[in-house]
Amino acid sequence: MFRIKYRRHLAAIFAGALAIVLGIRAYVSTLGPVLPVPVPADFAQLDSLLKSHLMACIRPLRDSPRDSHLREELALAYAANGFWSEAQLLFDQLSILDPQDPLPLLYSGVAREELHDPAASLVLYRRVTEMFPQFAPGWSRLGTAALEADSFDVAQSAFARLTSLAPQEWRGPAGAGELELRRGKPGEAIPLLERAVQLNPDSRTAHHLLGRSYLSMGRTNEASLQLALGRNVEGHPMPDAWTDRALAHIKSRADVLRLAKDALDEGDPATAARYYEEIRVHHPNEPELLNQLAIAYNRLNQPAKAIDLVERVLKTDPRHVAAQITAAYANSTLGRYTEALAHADAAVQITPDLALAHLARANAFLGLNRDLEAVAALESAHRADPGNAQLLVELGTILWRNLDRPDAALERLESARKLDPALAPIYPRITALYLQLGRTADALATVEIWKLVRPKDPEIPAALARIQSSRGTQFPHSIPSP
Amino acid sequence: MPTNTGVPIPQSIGPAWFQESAKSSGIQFQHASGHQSRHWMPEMESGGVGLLDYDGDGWLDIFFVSGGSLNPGPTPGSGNRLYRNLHNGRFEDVTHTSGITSGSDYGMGCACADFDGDGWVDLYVTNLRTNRLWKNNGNGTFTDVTEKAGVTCPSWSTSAAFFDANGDGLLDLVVVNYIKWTPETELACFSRGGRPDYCSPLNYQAPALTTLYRNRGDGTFEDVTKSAGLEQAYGNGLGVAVGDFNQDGRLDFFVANDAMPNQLWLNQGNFRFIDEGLLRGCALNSHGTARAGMGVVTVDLLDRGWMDLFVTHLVGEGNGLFINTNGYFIDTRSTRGPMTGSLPSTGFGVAFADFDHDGIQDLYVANGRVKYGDQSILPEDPYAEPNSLLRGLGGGEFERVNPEGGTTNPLVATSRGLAIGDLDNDGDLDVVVVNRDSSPYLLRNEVPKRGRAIQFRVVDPQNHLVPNARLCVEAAGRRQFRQASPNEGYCSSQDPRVHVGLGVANGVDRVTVRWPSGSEEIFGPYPAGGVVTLQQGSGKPASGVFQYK
Repeated sequence: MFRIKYRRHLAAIFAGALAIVLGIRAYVSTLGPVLPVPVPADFAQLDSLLKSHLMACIRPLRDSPRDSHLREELALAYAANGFWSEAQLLFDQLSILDPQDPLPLLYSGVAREELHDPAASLVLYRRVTEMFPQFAPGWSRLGTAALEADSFDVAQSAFARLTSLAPQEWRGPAGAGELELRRGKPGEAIPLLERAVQLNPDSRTAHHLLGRSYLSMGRTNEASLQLALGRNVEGHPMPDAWTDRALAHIKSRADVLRLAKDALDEGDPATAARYYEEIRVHHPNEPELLNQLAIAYNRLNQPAKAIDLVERVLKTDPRHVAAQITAAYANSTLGRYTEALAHADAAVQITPDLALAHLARANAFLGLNRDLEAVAALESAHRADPGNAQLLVELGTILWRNLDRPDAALERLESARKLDPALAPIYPRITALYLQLGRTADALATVEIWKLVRPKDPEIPAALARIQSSRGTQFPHSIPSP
Repeated sequence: MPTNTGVPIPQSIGPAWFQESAKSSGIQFQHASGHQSRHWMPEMESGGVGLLDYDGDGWLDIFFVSGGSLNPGPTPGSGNRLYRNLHNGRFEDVTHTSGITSGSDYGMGCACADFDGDGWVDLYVTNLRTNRLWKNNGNGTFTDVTEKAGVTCPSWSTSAAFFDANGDGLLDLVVVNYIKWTPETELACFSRGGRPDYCSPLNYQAPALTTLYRNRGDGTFEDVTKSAGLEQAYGNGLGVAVGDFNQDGRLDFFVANDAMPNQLWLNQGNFRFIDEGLLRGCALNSHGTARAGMGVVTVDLLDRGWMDLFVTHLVGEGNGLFINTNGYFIDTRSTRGPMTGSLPSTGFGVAFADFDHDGIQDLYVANGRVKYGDQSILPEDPYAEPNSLLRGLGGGEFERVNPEGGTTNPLVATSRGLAIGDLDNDGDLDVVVVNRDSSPYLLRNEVPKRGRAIQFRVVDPQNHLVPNARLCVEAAGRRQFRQASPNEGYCSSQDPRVHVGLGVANGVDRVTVRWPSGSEEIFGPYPAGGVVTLQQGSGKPASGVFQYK
């Protein structure tokens, strides 16, 4: 009896245990194991903006550690803020959890590249392209990495594949062109790079490579222009589905400030102000931040708000040059030019060789209709920063429009063009000046270069029409449509 | 200790190449950046060293450049120091008796040369504001002749070089300037984690001009920056290297800019220069991106008779090699080149030298971050990094030396200026490194030698050293090309003698010197060992040795 009972007990225990094991196994196999959530060693010391953002990604993942989407968000948050060791671990995990998604594996490679392990990243990029042959960003990354590693054959097939998968993507022909250039075949690189420039006239990389190719072929004039158009290249990998998601995770103060500055430079003060306000929540009294925010508000035509901010800065530090300059501009926006001039004068007094301070002065003088003094101030700015073509453009424009001195204006604008032939705003001005001076041939020659600098500039057809009407000739039908 | 991946490194640990012996040699110099709480940009770039035989006894002495203080209060550290070589492995601090003072200067670097041709090497110290020219009086003392000579250069100067720009036999002076900076224009910048940190030079948007002074020959200089055409290109200049890069018989100079395009100022004659860096392929990397150029040296890496340029860069960029092909440069990347393993580090001081006498130049790079990194190697110095030593394998290939940096115990600091020279006159090259807010390294060469070596003093008919003379040294069927380049690297000045490792050869068959004017002369043969003086006019005329191959 006992024995039977015992056996029944044993069977029940065994069945129960088996059920538990099978249940766990089923659970684990369905949802995957609980994976660790990495946290940077210096987390406690991080800036509060960054820390709170990361914590907002860490906490839900800790609560739902099997949620791939949350793991992706944290991985991207780490990557976007430069925590590549932590990001690498998460991307590695994700590449196992989501083996059908190319992005985790791709970003595992990116993380290794960022951690200065190009050999490992190349291996991973190869794996991405083997597993996901239709995934164009994988081929782009592989081609670039292979080129860096002198694996020319791999690079060649990668760029060829990229071009066939994404024929409108400039990186395909640009990579193939760079490869030919590296192989010492600039003649073969040129058509590829010309195609890349055609696909994306704003790609400085393509312009630079094309310039180098022209140079190697002895086409120096064309090379000079292309190299000028290719100045200040910043490498950007081919965008993928995670690119914008990663951008939204940038919360490192240094990087948010950079994004804001980029937005300001690109004429988007609203975005800049949004970034600055985001930091201001955590750093309400930081002088540089307040000054930058003031610049953004002034450009948003909210000068009173800007003045309020810079006055806070100047109250604690009257020698804050940047704030003095911002105060000058904000007062100018309000039409308070005398106050603007006082701030600009203060800036010049503090740093006499700062071009921006002289520029602020010139701006105030213009508001006061003291054009000659404005020109003198701009000349001072130019002396302080003679390599700045934009200053010469301003100078030339005032000499032309305000003082009706077309010859002097042309001289300044031509100097600006010599300094920076890629500065597009020069061309309509020079063209118009040549026309005003009756030099239609020079005007036409200028437009020809203008077309190379900014082929899709809507002002070009109008300029050509003006030249045409001024000398009554017909022009080739190659005029780009607006 | 972090290790680099994907980089050839010998598995077995070999013998140490250097013995660090600054303290035991009597050197008490302590660099001071003056950093307290605010991150003033100049604190990050300061620190140079010069090797000069100031007392003419045939032994190299050492001049260290310290920073100073940008904060109120007393100047920290030891200030600039001059150490006299006592010929017994020890050095004596002679700063006080030499008359050299630092005062309130904030020091960056130095360049050493006999600017007035009196036979005594002088000292030009670059500073944040006013530079100093210390004239060597020939009696162990120096006199500040800056004002009289007209070389104050009231900018933030970094590297400088004396060279004969117009072939008149007088040493002119090029001074590289960084950014237009004042305490009022300082900005608040942050590390990745949001901690206050040093800025990028681009934050200031205030690049500076390089300054050029013409030596009038009467102890004074004329500022010819504008008339020479140098105001056509601005940059955040940190390094300078001089050479006849297009082999037209005129000395040109290259300026390494931090995060802006480099400049290659080609000498047009009559003190006119044109920047052709962009056109000639050495302004940017091969993708068209401006890197953070710090130190720069000339090197004929493949012994072809054309001078290449090697520039140290920021972490993640890798150091850069511009190979000179017929006066045009190619940004060259290679997994086995001299940039090997440099991605994780930020390089400053740099020198190619044949430390082990195998007839192939090795490479030493002084590293140190400019911003907080992911992990601190030294808890007390978040910017510290180990220095790099690469052994040249020939054909432009290198491997990392194990032990790292060539010393038994790795040396980790925020290193800046670096100078190489034969400090103990034993025929091999030693290294001196300045470290931010720390003691310097004096690295005595003790690597087992793979061959013999020879050194050359290259002088004009009046026995003045001739910077930028180039040598083609032929031994045992091999040719090696060198330039006398005392003023290059980062904010530093090197042994003016030209050192050549000979490998298995017992001597030199002949040496062809290409003088800065473009003329060539043949000297030799010479046995290995010792220092040979090559005097202009005493060799046999030659031509065509320095041709592109």
